[in-house]
Amino acid sequence: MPADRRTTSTPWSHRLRRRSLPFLILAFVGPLTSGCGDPSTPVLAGAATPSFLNGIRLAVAEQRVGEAPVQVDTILVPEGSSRSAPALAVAQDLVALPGLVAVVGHSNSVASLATSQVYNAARVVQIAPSSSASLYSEAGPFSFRMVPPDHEQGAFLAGVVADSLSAGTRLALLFVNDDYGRGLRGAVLDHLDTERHPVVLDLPHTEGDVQPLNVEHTLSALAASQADALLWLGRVPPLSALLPRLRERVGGIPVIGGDAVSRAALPSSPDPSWDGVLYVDFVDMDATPELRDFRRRFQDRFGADASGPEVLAYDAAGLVLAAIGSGARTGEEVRRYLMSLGRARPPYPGVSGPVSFGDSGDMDRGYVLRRIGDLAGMP
Amino acid sequence: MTPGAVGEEALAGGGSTGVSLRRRILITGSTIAVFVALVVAVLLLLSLAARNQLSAVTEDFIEEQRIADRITNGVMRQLAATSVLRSLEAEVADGFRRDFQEMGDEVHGEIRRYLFRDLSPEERLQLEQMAEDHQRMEVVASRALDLFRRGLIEEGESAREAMFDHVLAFLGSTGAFLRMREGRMSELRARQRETFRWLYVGSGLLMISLVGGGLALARMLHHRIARPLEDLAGATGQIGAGDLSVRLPPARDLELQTLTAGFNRMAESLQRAADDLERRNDELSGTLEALRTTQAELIQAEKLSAMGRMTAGLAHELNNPLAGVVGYAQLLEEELDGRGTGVVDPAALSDHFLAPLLREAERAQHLVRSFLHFSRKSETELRPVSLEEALQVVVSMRQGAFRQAGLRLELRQIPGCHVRAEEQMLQGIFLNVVNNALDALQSIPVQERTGGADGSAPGLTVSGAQEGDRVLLRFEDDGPGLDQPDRVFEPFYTTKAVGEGTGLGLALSHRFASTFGGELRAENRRSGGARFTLELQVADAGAGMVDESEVGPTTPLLERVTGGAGPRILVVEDEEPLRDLHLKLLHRLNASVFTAGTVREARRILDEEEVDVILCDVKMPGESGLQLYRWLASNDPDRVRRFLFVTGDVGAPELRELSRERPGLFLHKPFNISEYLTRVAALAADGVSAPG
Repeated sequence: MPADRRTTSTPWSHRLRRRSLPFLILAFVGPLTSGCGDPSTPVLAGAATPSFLNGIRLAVAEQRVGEAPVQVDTILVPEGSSRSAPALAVAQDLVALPGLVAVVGHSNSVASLATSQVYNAARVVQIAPSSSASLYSEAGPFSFRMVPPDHEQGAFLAGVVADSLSAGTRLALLFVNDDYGRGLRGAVLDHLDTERHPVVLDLPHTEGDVQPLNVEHTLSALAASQADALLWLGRVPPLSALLPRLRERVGGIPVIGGDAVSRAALPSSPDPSWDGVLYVDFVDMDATPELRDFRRRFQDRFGADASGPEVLAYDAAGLVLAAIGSGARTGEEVRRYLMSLGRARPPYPGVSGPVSFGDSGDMDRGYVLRRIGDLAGMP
Repeated sequence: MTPGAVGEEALAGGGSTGVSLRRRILITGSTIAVFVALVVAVLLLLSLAARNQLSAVTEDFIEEQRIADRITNGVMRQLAATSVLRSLEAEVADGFRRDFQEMGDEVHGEIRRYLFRDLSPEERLQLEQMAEDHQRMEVVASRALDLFRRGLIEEGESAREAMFDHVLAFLGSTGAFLRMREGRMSELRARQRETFRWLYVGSGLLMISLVGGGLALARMLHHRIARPLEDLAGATGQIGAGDLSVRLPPARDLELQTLTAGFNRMAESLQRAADDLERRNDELSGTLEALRTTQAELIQAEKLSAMGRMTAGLAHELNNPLAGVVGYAQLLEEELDGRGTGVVDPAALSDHFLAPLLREAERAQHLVRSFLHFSRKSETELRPVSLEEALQVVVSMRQGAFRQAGLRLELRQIPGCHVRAEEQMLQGIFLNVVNNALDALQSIPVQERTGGADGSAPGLTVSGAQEGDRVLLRFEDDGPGLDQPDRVFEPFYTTKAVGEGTGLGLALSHRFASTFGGELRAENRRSGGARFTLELQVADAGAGMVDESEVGPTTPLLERVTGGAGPRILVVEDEEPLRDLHLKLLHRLNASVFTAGTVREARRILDEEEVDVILCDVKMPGESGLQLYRWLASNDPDRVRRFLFVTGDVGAPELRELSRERPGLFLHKPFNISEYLTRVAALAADGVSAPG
């Protein structure tokens, strides 16, 4: 496991109750102000993929040099697994930290949903940047997310199918058989006009189904179904394994993916088979000057392009810092601050736009459809 | 309780320092009640929490059972769907595929329902493993279904067999999860058992506390109420039994302090009253004793007074016969000396001089004997007493005094019966009444005492009459009568001059009469003078009387003795003239006489000589004749039968009992010569000293 320990602080060692946690601490951002290691200082944790963590780092760094820096300790743990077991282990270690008030993470619905009960039980606020599983809305009062639930994305995807594919186009629906894929599949099927766009193949897969035999079966099934378009409701790795063979066997049929197919998750040197793949994103990085400026700052700091998840992670961290800056010192106080946005307080002015939460901790936000290979021409 | 130890504050009723028992009981009871209420509240809360927990656990268990059932059922239906799809038409198969998907969604949803339950990290991980296994099973099953749909039966079967591996894995993970949950349930049950154990312990503690509290309260009530009340009851009992020194110790509680203080004050008052009563009783006893002493002194004075008057009368009575004795003796002496009338004939001398001399001497003897008889002190033992003899004793004593005063003392129709009385006390009654009459009659002028119209002198007439078992004796005098007849029997009531009487004579006589079961009444006669009526009970004459016939014949015995060789007689007498008289008299019995002046000499003679009769005086220098008698009674009882006391001391107390047992043992001085010789001769002849 790569260690990305930007800064460390010896006093932190005594704040860790579990010996298993230190090797998981891949990044630690020291206190924004003085008082390093003070047990009374609130702690903000990040548990997500490295690109998410960079958003958090940027938020903390920019807050530290701002006009009204807040005193907070930050611990960042890279956790990008789509399986719940590693996420649960990280969550158990994090809630053992004294002073922990909020966690920004995890990277996907499975991890966020699995860990939500751990954070709720510990009365620690969890802000999931991009988890869209519908069940997360019921996770508990300490569970927040920066995106809407899947049923809204399903409607958006159904609309994309209806708008971009001609009538009679036969759809092959491949979904990852977990909370994310099952939920999104159900939402799409709820809004899809199957009479106009019949689903000729409805096939689940798992994150581990990357073996050639399975890919082969998927390809044969696709071929047998004579699908005209592929609706991919899964994540990037299986699709990366499938796409080259798919292009060989059935040609350039349209491929439309969910929000899990983000550009940030793509390999550093994308295969040409990815060209033309459409996917859903939560943020249009060129929509506002703030987003463009953020993209520039992110690029400058980390040498990588930023997409929606990074912005949402950046805004999520900013929310927690704002809550602490307003005096919140416990998870409960942070929760009350978040719930006051758009009610007793104005929405938080995030880079991705004004932020406020519904009663279930969800955020009302629109979607954008992006295309790989022609970024400049993306809608 | 501390008898006699008086707590000052208890006596003072110091209720200001104590605590009210009511308040103490109230505080104790309230404390126990609050404690019990708290314990009960805690137990109720614990039981409520345990009940809620049990309810929640039960609901959780039931819910999880349902979830597990639905999961299992869903999976089974998914498996069933995969089993039949291979042989179904396409349209029917599509329907089963939709069912497969719906069952999958249901199983997935049920698994995810676990997500929001209270799971341990391990359970949560195992739940995720379940979900993943189910997801894999579905993926493989979907693949099999797709192969069947495409007619690739062989590949489909192969996929289906692979699916079974995932099913087994899913069932394994599900079983592991359920076992974890069962373990969790077991932990909950263990916690519940722990809770219930605490409930039991708490209930036990509550019971112990209640019992302890009850015992403490009972002990307090016993110490504070029951025991003080027992002490109070005991003390009251002691007071009732007469122990007024008992006191209660100071109590601790206000009410009992008041009670004990009141009790102690009451006891103190009672003791003071009792002490005062005892003091007054002592004073009264002293006064009574003084009165008794005074009374005894007065009685003695009355006796002395009576004795003085009687002695004066006796002296007067004796002087007369003594004058005759002396005169006749001197005349006889002159005749014998030749200085008299010249009478030389012994018979004439005897007639003219010795006979009057002897007569006067016998008269003096009779007076002395009567006096001694009267003065003899006897016990108050009621026995038949000859009424006539008792009267004669008194009359013989006072006849001279009446005659000398020119007065008459007369007995008329005195019944010859015996009355129930004590002889001396009866004679005392007679003497007092007679003396009282004499004193009253002496107030009659001397010139009027010579006689009335009938020539008779005024005086006292004693008459009697027997009425059934009663005898009435009337003492009627011719005096001036009684001033206050109803007061004459009051002690110390007297109309006599000071020094002439104590006022007790008639009072004692009245009391004596009552003692005999009779009555003495006083009244004035209509014809003048006073009348005293003595009513007595008639008694059986034989009871307690001496049978004179037992004394035995006299003359024949004398003759028989004098006709023999003569008895051997020991005379024990300290006065020599009397020893000579004994010798002269016994010479007439032709007796051999041994004489002793002391008892010691008599013992010596008795040791050396055989004697037939012992004549012994009583009072002698050294040992008395009574001691000699007792010595003989213990050493030679046969000689006691021939023992005769010749004594003038008939009233000696030591002889009273012996005289009562053996009346014939005594011959009183002065004695009649013939009686003397007759008694001695009888003893010498038969060795019988006395009847009985």
